Amino acid sequence: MGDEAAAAGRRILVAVDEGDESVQALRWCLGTFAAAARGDTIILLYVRPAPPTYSVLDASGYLFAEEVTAAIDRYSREVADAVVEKAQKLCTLYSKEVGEGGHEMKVEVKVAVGDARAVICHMADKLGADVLVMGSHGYGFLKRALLGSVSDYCLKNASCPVVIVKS
Amino acid sequence: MEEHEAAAASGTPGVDGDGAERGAAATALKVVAAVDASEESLRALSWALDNIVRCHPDATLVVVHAQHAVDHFVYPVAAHGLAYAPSSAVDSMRKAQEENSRRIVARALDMCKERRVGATAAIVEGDAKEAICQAVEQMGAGLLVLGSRGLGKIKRAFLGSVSDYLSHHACCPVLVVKPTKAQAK
Repeated sequence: MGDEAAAAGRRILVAVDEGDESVQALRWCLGTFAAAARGDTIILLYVRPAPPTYSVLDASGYLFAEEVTAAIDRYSREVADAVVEKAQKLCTLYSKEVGEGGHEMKVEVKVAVGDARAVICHMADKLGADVLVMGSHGYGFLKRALLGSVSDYCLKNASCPVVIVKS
Repeated sequence: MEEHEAAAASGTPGVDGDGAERGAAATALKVVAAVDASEESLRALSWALDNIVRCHPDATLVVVHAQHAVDHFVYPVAAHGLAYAPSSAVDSMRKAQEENSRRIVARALDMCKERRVGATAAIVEGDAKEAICQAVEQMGAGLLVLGSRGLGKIKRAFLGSVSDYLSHHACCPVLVVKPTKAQAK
């Protein structure tokens, strides 16, 4: 027998990135999948690439000066902010549109650093996500035949159910 | 209320697949769950029942099973001829297939009934990947639910080929439920 109260509030982890596909995934999630009235929580996760580190022994260490790596890092943070802001705007937009009886979707934001595939799977575990929602990249002419490698990896390795939303 | 229909060629999505998907909770989400003889697909169905259908009271659920097409068997005879398997053999094979499908679908529908969810069933014939892909398109599904085999020791590194294919090619979002160690309940 299911008790409705306990079932309320799924934690839905939505992986966002700079591309349109993840926006589609988020849109789908907000529009169709998540139910605010049930107390679902949407967790937006953006993974930004780790700043490159160069070992002393590696000759490439001489190619990049400190300022350059700092600039790269700053840029990646700016991108992260932009992506997160866009995603949050989308969430509030949907809340406004629906706006029934003050059921607002709970939204959390997480930004992580590192290799997207591994980090997403790890965070899904760590944040206790019930389901992971991702877009998939359409790589040009291979459009419908190829899942982006990140979503592919997560599909195979995440410990929770995964939804892939194709555009 | 369950119907049992062979959706070989025509699948009419009678539900309001208008495409007018504005406003969250009012959308009728059409969930299609693909089942086969494996436990994983049933677990996927169970997860979907608990976590999707329960949260969307107006969602409709269709249970789909892909049955291998029973072709006429031919086998080579004496290096120059082909012999058709006797029709009785083909018939009995077909009956066995249908019986198998019926059992699988019945098990799935029972599970739905336990949770008091009305579901319809459809049996499609042919190669599982393509048949389900087509069925999903024809039904205008909003979400496809699949289990996936964690093949033994290669546990988390391999998706069953059907789930893999469908997650690439289905026309709607695909939910893959993988087996985990501690699946609650």
